Amino acid sequence: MHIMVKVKLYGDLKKYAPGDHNQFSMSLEPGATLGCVCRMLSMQKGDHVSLINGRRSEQDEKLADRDTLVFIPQISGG
Amino acid sequence: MNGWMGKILRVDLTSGACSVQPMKTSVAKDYIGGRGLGIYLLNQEVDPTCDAFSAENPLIMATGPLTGTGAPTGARYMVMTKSPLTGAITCSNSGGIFPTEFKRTGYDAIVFAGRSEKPVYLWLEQEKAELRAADHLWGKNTHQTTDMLLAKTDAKAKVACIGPAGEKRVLFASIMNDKHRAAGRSGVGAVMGSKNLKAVVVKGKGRIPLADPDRFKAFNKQILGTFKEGVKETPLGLTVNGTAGVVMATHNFGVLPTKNWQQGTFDGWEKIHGEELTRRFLKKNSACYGCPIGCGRKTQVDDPRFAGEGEGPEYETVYAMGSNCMVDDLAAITKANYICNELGMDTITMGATIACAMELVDCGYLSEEQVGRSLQWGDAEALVELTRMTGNREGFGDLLAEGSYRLADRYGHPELAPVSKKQEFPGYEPRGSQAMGLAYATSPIGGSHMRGDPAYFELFGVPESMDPHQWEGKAKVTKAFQDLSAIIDSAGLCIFFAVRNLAAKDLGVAPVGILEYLNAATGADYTLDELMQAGERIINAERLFLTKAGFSRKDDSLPKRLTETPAPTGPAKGLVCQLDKMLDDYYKVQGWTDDGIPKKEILQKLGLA
Repeated sequence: MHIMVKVKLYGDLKKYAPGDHNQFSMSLEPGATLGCVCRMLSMQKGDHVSLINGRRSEQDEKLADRDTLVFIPQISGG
Repeated sequence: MNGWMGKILRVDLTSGACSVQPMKTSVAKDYIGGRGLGIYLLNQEVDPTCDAFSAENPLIMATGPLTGTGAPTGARYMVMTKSPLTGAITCSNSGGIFPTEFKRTGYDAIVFAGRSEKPVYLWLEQEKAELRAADHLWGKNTHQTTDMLLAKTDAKAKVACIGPAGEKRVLFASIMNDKHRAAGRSGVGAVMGSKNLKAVVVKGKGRIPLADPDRFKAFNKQILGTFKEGVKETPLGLTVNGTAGVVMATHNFGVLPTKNWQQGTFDGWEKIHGEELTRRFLKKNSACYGCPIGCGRKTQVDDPRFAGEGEGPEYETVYAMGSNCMVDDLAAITKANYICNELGMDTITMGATIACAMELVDCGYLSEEQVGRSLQWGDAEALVELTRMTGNREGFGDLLAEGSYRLADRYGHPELAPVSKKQEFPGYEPRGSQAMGLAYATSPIGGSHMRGDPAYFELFGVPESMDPHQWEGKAKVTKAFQDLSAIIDSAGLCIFFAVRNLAAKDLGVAPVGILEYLNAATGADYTLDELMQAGERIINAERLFLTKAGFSRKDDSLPKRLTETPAPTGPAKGLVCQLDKMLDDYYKVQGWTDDGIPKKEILQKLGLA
């Protein structure tokens, strides 16, 4: 059975969206990782920070059904 | 001396006499300059139990050995005094051009002692200091004051001054320099006002001597080259959207303080984000002296309700006046920010105090009749109007001018004030950013992110990321960042560049790049250990002042809202800030007692016993 995840792309990263919307759902094979999603969206390494359910996450982290993935540009300062 | 100018100007406002003191080589090396020199002088000058508004409380302005040298972001100065808001120290920091011009007059620092009977300003032209009458400037805002002083003295001079808020002792009045840059926090402007000192005007021609110009230049080329290479493909977020671009991160991490710190997510965040500021109001970037980032924003608002122009707002302002007040109208936030700059007030405390008043009204502890107008969550007009009234201490603004703690306490609910040591927090929610809670509680100035900024390792992943929800292991890293901040603030640098580019790429954040700059500039031959120990010395010298003023563990606190009430929304939902556990670890790492008092051993090691 596939899993469904919600994806949100912000800032310049909207360019990686498959359609006109920066928020969309993706259907993935069970066991898919964050890295799989980045590859499917052809995202460049190093230009973004990835959050799974609000937590900074690495490429090899496995995704679960109904996870929310947020991608924001590299952050600096504040 | 090299790097340092070697002289401190002492201005006795009571007698009007100006005198010059040499800076001791050992003091320069042990305390670096800026913040370190400030706390050294403050500890020499004053009894920490004094009244902040008494004549005996000195106002100290200090540059660092890298200020004005051309080291990237070497543009800063520090204002040190006893704070009327907290009763602890201030170390309120600002950039722009003024600090470099000030240092070029030939002094590392100015100590303003006593109190003038009548309003005065200091005219400092190339070592020559003169107090002049400022009666005609009293009541003028910071922009008017600056323009009038430049017309009177020299168009190329630089001005730091207070506005009406400082004159009227608003407890969080700022000192504005170059019109738009603020030594914003802890009420430094109110102390300046209490001394009847309206402005400091500087004009310097002197060169800042470097011990080894070739070594300095070579290292500068290397550091700037690496920086420019790094931002070639993807420009820094700070350059593109200013600090307000951080809203995107803090909302998505669930640490954007909202509704007077009740929650860490704000539905209207995209309306107040830096991208919106860029799209709607940005005219052009502005940069402090020698800064390759340029995070400053020259902005203009045309909306007739909130029309104006100036600089900002910064992220902290957007949080405090935006999400925290549930205001999603960026024009209103920007206008309130302009008013703060013109009247001379700290935007963080201003916004946080209005949000606290909104909650007092919401809970029925304060009536709108007492406020004199409506004051509901999200009321953009109330935000702007109450900001103006506060700077002039007009109507209910007179109570807001005391900050959120005194306001909430007056109405019987001090627990609603988002403060540590009575100073309001900046915009990172400790329930979802545990080390930030520890940093707020242990900062020597009360709520502050700039005295050791854990957002770097908890949110930005610099130099490497730590889970923001876990509290274990945070004490040691927070201390390392606090020591680093003491060194950055003392050298005269800006944290935005130095943490990423001048510190080691591990969580020990040894100041390796600052070391090279300092040695090339000063010739003081610091070892890395000596420099890191200077950071520790500064932190402990500050803690000694606080200890003598009566502060201890009981004051290293956060409101129960953050330590007992679980976060209701977002990624940190269900979490509280584990401050007590982190404090136990932290005092051990510092070499302080369980009550937060520096032990004899650490003081002896640092030469403070």
